[in-house]
Amino acid sequence: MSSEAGVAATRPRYWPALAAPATLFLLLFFVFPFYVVLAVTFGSIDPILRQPVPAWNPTTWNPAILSFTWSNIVHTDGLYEAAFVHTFLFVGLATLLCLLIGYPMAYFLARRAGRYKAAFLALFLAPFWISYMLRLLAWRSLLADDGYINRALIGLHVIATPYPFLQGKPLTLVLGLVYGYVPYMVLPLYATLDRIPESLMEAGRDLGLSPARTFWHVTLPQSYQAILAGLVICILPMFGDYYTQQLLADRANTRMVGNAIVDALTQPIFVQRGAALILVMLVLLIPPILYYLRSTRRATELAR
Amino acid sequence: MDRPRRLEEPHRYARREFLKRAAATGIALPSLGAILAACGGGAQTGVGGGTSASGAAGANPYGTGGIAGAPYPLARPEAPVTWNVNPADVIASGQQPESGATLKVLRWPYYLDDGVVKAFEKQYNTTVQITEFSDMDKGLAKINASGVDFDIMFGMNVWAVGRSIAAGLLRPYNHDYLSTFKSNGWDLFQSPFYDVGANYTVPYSVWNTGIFWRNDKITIDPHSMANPYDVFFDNPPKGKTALLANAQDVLAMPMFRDGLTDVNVTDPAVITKAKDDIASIAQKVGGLSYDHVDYTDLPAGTTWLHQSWSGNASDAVVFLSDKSKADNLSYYWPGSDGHPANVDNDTTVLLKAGKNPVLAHLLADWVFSAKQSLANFTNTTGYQMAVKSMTPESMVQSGLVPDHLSTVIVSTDDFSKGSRELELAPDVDALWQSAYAELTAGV
Repeated sequence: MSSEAGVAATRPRYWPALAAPATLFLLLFFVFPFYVVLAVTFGSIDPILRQPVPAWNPTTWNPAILSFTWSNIVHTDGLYEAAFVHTFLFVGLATLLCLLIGYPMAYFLARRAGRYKAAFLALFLAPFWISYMLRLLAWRSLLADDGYINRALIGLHVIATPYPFLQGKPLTLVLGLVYGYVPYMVLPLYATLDRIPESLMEAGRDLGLSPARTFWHVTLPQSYQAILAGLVICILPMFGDYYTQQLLADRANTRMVGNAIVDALTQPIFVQRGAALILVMLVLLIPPILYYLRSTRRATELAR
Repeated sequence: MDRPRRLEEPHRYARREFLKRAAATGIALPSLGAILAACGGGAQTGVGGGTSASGAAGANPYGTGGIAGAPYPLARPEAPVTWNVNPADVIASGQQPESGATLKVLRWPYYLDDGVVKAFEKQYNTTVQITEFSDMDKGLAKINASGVDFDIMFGMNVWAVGRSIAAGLLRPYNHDYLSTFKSNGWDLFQSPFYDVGANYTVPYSVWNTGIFWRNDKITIDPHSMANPYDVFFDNPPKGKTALLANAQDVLAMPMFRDGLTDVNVTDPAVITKAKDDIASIAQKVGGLSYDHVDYTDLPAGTTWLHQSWSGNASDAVVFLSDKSKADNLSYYWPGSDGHPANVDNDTTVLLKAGKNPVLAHLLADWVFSAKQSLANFTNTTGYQMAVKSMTPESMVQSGLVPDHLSTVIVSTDDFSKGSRELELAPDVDALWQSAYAELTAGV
């Protein structure tokens, strides 16, 4: 009998019951809502109140709306094509920037901040004690035509007239996303980098590696799983984000899928489209999640 | 605040058949272009036409009059609707208000003054419990949910009245309880075209849709222009121009500019042209903003030119950081100079599921007094009620509205000058919504 099998054999019978609260939670707040989304997507519209009527029985499901939504995503000039292009572009750029900003920050916090580590970490996290929405509203004030940033740029003679930061600029949107999500990149990286044994670095240096090559051959591979986790944690909520665009760049040229979903959900005759967009998003996001899970499992197996 | 409205349609069989099938599959509507293609090029079917009697008269289970297009009659000024009333749903006259009751009220956010409510609670020794809805469709979903027992709803759009009656959600009024409405409410609404006899509705707010701008930032004078709507088309301020955020107000504006006095259009070609006109503005200003926060946008300088509701414009003064700058805000309603323009109202309705119908009647009537309607306007909503005691002259004289913003106050006469954005048949509504969705998507 293997040691794992032995452990399983001696495990108390009530252990699986410990998973009951989480299972119940998932059933109530994930599985059921997901089924509602399916039932709405494949349902109909009430002819009098013009509100969506979910089709609870799968045998009555009508795929017309899903098919319509999909065709408007994949066809050039489709209603949702631009939103998907924008989303992939902006989320891709913002995630890359999060990594480029977050990794050095996490590295510094974990390995170079010394006894001030806790203080720096607290300073880094302090702004995030305030809700994201409120911070974005503060950014609106800062970025307004007569906001401090424009005033400073004009005062320094960088620009002559206010730069229209809030008038649908992709730059503002991407920076807003980075600002909002960079902590989700930093924290898993920090946790991992902080735990890399110093002896591994020393071994690298003892073998004649330069600091840069030590980083490349020792630190970076050790933090690969954390990078992956950071990417997944950043990308998933960014894909559904709509308020960053609404508050910082509210124009058609920066609309993301989240905005298309919100717009559809607020118009009852188009609620089914919104539900269909949610399904499409879910399907698109499953592969990266599966890759992350597979990669984590393999890393765990290798570590044993 | 979101106050979308709809309109009507009769029409060509081919398009109706196509759209009916789409509706049967859950309004599986493609883009506007595809709809038009399916309609055989969108032949002209008349603007605001189709006022033929719905066949509803006598035949429709919900009411008589109106025009066809929905399972219930669609009301038009030239085709008024009288809704059927089940006498059993009308409460008896002369009853005392329910004692120790909690009156359940639905309202838009900030759309019924707390002071007015508190005074009512004191007067009738009751408790009022307020729930808010953020748009009319959500409001409809709330009153249609099972197990709810709201008594009264403030701010039901006219376009939602017919469907709510058809769905059996509304309780008819007993006018014996509405003495203040009878004496101080506008005569126009004692028997409006959308509810002949005012069996199910009393009016709440009235407004017009106009042009709101910062006169310290841009120099325009729509009042002296041959076509005031040109301010949105001729050199609009780049990055500082915005329209309201709903299909009917947005698309009606270029229709008014083209001289249509009835914008409850069913012709796809007219809708497409309106969409293209708006798209041309978007191109000129580098992307249009669609929102309902003109009352904060203009004071903050986020936008300089905004399509606006009069109630929002009157509210904007409150949001100025420096109140002495009120002169920088200008509002113009094109209807005041005889140009085609929108004027509208919403309603207060009683809900059939409510447990306190007497108190609900009394509250509906309470807000019509000169004192309470003024408090409601001044302290909270910024939207004027349809009461005789509130005129542009009296509002300016009392200092509540600056002289140069006097057109934010609607008068009874304005309803004969302006036109309504009314409930549309589902298939036509889908055309409008699709066109608007394409605008916001930048397609």
